[in-house]
Amino acid sequence: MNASDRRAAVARRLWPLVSLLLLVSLTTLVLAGGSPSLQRVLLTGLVDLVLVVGRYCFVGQSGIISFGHAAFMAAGAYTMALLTIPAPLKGSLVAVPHTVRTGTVSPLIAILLAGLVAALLAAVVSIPLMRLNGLSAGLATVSLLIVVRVVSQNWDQLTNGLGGLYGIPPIADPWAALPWALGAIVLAFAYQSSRFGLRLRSSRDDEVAARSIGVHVKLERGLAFVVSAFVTGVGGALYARSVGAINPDSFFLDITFVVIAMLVVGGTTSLAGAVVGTLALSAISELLRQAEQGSLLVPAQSGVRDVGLAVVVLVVLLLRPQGLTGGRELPFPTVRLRRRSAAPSPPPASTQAPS
Amino acid sequence: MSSVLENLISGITSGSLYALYALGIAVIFGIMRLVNFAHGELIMSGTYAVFLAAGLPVPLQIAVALAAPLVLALGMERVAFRPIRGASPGTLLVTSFALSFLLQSLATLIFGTLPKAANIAPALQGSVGLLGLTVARLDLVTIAVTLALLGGVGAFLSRTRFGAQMRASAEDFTMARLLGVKADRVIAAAFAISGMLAGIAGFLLMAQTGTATPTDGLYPLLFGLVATVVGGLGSLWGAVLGGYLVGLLSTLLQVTLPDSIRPYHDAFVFGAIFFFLVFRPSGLVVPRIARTRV
Amino acid sequence: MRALEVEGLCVSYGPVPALRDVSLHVEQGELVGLLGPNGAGKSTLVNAVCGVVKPSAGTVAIAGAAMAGVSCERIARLGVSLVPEGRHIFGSLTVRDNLRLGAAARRDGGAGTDAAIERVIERFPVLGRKLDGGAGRLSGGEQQQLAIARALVTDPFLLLLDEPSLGLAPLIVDLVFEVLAELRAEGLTVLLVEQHATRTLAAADRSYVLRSGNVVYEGAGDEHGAKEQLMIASLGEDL
Repeated sequence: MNASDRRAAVARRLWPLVSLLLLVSLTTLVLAGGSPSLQRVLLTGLVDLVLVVGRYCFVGQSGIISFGHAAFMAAGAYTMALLTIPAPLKGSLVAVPHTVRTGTVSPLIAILLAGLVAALLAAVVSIPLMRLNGLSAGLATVSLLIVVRVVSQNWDQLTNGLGGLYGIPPIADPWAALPWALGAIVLAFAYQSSRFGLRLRSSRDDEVAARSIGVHVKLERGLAFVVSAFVTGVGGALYARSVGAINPDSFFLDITFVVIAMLVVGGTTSLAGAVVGTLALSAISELLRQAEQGSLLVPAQSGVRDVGLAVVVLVVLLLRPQGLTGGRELPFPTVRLRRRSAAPSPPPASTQAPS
Repeated sequence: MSSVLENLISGITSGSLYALYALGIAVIFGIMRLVNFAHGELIMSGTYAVFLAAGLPVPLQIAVALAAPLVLALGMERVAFRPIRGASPGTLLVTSFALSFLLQSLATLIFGTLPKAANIAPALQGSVGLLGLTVARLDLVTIAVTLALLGGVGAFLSRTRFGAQMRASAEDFTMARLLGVKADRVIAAAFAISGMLAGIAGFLLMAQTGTATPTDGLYPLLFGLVATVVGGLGSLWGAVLGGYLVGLLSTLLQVTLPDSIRPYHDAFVFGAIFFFLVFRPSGLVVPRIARTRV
Repeated sequence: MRALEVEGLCVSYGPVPALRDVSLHVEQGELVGLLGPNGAGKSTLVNAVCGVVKPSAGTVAIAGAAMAGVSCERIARLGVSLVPEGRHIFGSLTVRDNLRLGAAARRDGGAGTDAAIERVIERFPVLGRKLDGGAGRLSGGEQQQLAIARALVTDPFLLLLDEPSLGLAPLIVDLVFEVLAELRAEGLTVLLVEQHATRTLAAADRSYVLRSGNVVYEGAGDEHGAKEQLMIASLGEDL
């Protein structure tokens, strides 16, 4: 293979990643100059993107639907909160270790630690969890979510219970979230392109066959689970920063539905699906919210938006269950890279007898 | 001793409710291999229906409580589940999840997030002395109604010809169809039974709590699902058994947990479920088909 | 009018073609054999006739009527009964309930069910002794008898059997072929899919041999061509 062939091959392999990075960056560029409410939407969208990409790392690769990932989001968010809330505001949380209670950590380190805490939780839970399949696994993840929720609601000395934590140094600038969104995409891409991702996907399509060629399905799933939890934890930390105050209700049904919806609408089995789904549903969600305000509808803020989102998801599921991207990555632009100066390939061998 | 018996009755009451939830889910799962997340919303529609019918005499309240989930169940079968009948389990699961969310959001839209209170069936409230124990009247009614319902559904399934068609469909749907069993009718019947069970459960729930909220269906769904899996997926009696076991476990924990930990009750219940699933993922009752000799 | 007419049938499972342009027919009252090695497409063909799988091309006509887009339960109610590979009896039901299920497909709306059950019990006495037991507790041979009996309760005019002798003791296989011979004498039309080539060729009026989704032979059983094609089909091209 000559140099230009090699370059083309590398470009082809990296295109799914580059295309998504470009897409997200361009979107941010275009929208970041807009009104404050638009910037808010963009920020929320970027945070959602991290969450959805995180979920994709597990669900898209293993084929097991997890309904309990909000537990990792909570773990990340609470870690972030506890690490960055100014000391005077968290003095009453006696279950928190002394050093954490009396100091704060830079946001960058806090976010990474948040991801690590979530990953650690996932690692511990995955030991029993990865034995399970299908519905049992889904239910087990729900059990995890409920346990985390109950703990966060009741362990006042750690989480301030139902009151939640406030005083997290907020961010309002989408540019602050962009690097994390891009990083999540890079990490997800690296994982899915690695042999770990490949092995896991083989088990998704046919578990028995995968086992027979030596794929250690439980381990691969566990690894995906941990990676997924890390990214989700980071997403949770970003969420905490974007709202400034968190409580146990932020990490339950609503966000679980939103993330699953974005993943499904985009296409569960591709990274592009996660990104496209997030962008599409964020846009639709915002449109619905504006329609809600602009009309004479009386209902509560999130009422129409939720109904609209659910309807959109159902329509997609009924008409195009493989999602907007059809489970594939973004198509490679073949026009640009077709070599024009290549020598013509030899004509196909003739099967006709010479006349 | 008497308090032990009283707690036992309490546990059986919970178990009865959970058995109703579980059976409603298992009936549909058995035939279509579909986990209907929206089953919780069927129950929720029952509670709101009773709320709306609060002024009417009790028999009418019950009729309304049955009618609303029944119509909703048949509607969701026709509109949401029939078009995707052959789809992959993942698609079915997410569709029912989205449907569940849709119905919850609709309820929020229509009724608001705050609980709607109504005083229904005052005749069922209060306690009764029974063999030296103090038992809530509603508990006795719940247990009795559940046993009657379970008996009725059981008799229907095992003694009638259509019931045999349904059981056959639950075991091997394609083979049943090859024998001329009409798929649409069997599935509609399953949803109808599911809706009816949800309606009664909704009525009892409303009588117990006195309020209707959009999220009423969430915990019944979760407990119902858990009971179904604990009992063994694919087995109707397993679902019932699982319901009673989870109910008894929940009450046991409620009674034995020290005060300081009691708020974490749900965490213990679901934690126990988690470990049960890990050690016995196929559930308690392995469906008899798995034991068929070849 | 032929009992069954299949023309140019193509069936694929996703990208994998299972049947390529298959044509065959069964006249009323005939017993036709369908032979071939594993994976030849025999089960696919029978499933397509009964409406379980949808063909991508070609037609299936039963008693002259096209079956395109007809659901499998309607086809069953028209008088087509399939005894699928692997028996598929309902283990969680009693033997009696299994037999009673045949009522749904009867063209008389179930009126003659009890009489039909009496008749099949005469053919398969072992079922008569275990009527109220769970079907899941029957032995393999008994389950196969139940599967056939159940199909007969539906009072079909066209009976399809997919490998009924698979995994059965020779004595039971004898019984099955005996019953098939009786049924044929009574005028029932039968399409028999089998790997048991010799007996099928002997019992059938005509046989087809299927290989890799194509019909490679059609003719009466005692013709030389049948056996040769079968050997080629089973053992490979280069023989």
